[in-house]
Amino acid sequence: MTSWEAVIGLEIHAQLTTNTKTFCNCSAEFGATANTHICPVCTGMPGVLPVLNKNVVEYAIKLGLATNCSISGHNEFARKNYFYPDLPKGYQISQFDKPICLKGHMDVVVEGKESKIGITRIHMEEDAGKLVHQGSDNIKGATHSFVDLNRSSVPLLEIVSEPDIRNAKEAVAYMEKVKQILQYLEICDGNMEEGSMRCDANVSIRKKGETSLGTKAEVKNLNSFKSVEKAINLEIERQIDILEEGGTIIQETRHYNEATNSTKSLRSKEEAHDYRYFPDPDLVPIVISSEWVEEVRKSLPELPEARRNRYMADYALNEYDALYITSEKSLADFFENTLKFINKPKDIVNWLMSDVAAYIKSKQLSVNATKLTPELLAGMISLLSAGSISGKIAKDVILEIFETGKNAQQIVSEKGLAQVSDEGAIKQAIEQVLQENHESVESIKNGKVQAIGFLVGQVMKKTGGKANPGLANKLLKELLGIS
Amino acid sequence: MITKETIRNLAILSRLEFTEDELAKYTQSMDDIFNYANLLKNIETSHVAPSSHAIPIQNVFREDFVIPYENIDKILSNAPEAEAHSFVVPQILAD
Repeated sequence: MTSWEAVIGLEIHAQLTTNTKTFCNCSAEFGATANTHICPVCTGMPGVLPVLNKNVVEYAIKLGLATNCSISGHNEFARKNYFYPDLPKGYQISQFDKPICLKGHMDVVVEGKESKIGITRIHMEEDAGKLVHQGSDNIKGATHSFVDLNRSSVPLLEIVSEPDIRNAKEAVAYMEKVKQILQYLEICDGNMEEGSMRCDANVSIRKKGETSLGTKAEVKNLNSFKSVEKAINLEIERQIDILEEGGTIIQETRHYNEATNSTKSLRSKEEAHDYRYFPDPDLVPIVISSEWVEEVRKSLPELPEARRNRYMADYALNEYDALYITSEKSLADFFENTLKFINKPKDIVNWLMSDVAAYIKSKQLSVNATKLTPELLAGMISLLSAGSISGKIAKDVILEIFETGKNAQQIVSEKGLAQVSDEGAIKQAIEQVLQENHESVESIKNGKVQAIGFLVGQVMKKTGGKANPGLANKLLKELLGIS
Repeated sequence: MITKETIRNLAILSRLEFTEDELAKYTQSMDDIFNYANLLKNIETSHVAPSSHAIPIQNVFREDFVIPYENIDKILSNAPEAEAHSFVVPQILAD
C-alpha cells in the first residue's frame, strides 16, 4: 500500500459572474425559468455572429495574474466539435493551442506542509446547456429530456493544473485555494451547489521513486469538496487493487456517483474523443498588449495572502486568526467594516470565530446574508466592553440580533438585560444563595476555596445572568470573609 | 486521400448512418472536395505569416450589458418538440 504514489491533476471549470453570456447579450444569471435567457446566437441558429464579451477577457487576465501565469499576447478561439443534446451548435467555442494564460502556480498548505502546484493553462470557453432528464433522476432510464439553454454560452474559465498533486487532501486544499482567489477577484461566486465551480480529476498511480507517469483515469462529476476527496481516494484504491492483482489500468473516463460513493466507467464506442478542433472563423484573434495587462494588474484587489499579512502587522492578529478571517473575502470585508465602527480587532475576530461562525454554519449562510451587520456587531461589542452587559448576556443578545436585526442597545432595554453593577442588588442575591447552599459554604470555610466558582454561578443564575460577575465574585469573597 | 474509414468514423462522430452505397458516394465526393481545396497549396505563401483569419482584424468586443431577446417563443416554435418552455430531445442513453 505505502509503496504506491498517486499523481493527480485537476481541471476546474469556473463559471464567471459577468452580466451577460460569452458571445451574446443574454443574461448569464443562474436560476431563471428555463429558456428565458436565450437568443439566436446561444441557441445556435444559422447565420448568427458571436461577439466576445470584453469582461471575459479581463476576468481571465485577472485570474492569470493572481495565479502567477504569463498572459498570452495572441489569443484565438477554436471550435471543439461533438454532438450532444445540450450543445445546440454541434461545437463548443473554446481555446485550443493558444490559451490566454500559461505556466502559473499556486502554493497550498496541507497539515503545515507547503507545496507548489503548477498551473498548465487557463483558457476561456462557453458552457453548454442543461439537460433535465424525464422519467428518471438519471440519464439512464430517462424516456426523454428537456433542454434548458439559459446556461448555453455562459462564460467559463478552465483551470488545468500540472500533475503535481499527490493525495486527495492536497487536491481539496488546491481547490479551496482556487475558490478563494476566484471569490477575492469577484469573478466567480464559487458556489459548487449551483455548479459555478466544477471539477474533473486525472488520477494515476506509480511506485514511489518512479518518475514516469502511469496510465490515468479521468474522474468526472465532482460537485463538492467532499466528492473530490472521496472520489480521488476511491480511484487511487481501485488502481492499486488492479495493479497489485497483476492487471493493467485502462485509460478511461469514470463518472462519480455521490449517493453510492462509487465510480463507473463511461467508456463506449461513442466516447472515442475526436474533437477536430479548428480556429473559429466567426471570431477574430484577441491581441493583449502589455499595457492592457498592466492596467488589469493595477485593478487587482488585495489578495488573501497580502490581507493576512496586513492583519498580522496592523492589528496584531496571530497567524491562525488572520488565516481564518481571510479565508473568505466576505468574512474579511465584514471584519474590516466592523473596525470602522469600533477599534477592537481582537474582540471582533473572537466574535466572528465563535458565535457568528456557529450561527452562519448552522444556517449555511454567508456572513453578509444575515441580519447582523458590521454596525450591529460593533454596537454589541461596545456594550460588552463598557460593562453594560455580561459576556453571557452578550451571547443571547447576538442571537437576538441575528433573529431581529435590532441593535444591541434596543434589545437590552426591551428585555431588561442590562448588567447589574448595583452592589445592593447583588448582595441581596448573594445572601439568598448562601442560605440555600450551606454545604458549599462549609467546604469553602474548610479551605476548599475553588467551590466559590459554583456560588458565583448560582448568583448569576439568580440574577438571570445580569450580575456583573467580577463584582459578584468580589462581594461573595467579602461576605465569606476570604481575600 | 479520403478513405472509406475516414468517412465511416466521421459518420459515427456526426451521429449519421450510411449504407455501403452512400459510404462509397460520400468518400468520392469528399475526396473531390479535398482535391479541389488542395489547389490552394499551389499559391506561394512563404512570405505570409500564418494566420487563422481571412482579414487582418483583431479585438472585436461587446460591452457587458444585458439586452433581452424579444422573440424567444419563435425560437421554441422552431423545435420539433417543446414542453414546459423547454426543447424536448429523445432518449439519450438507450440501455
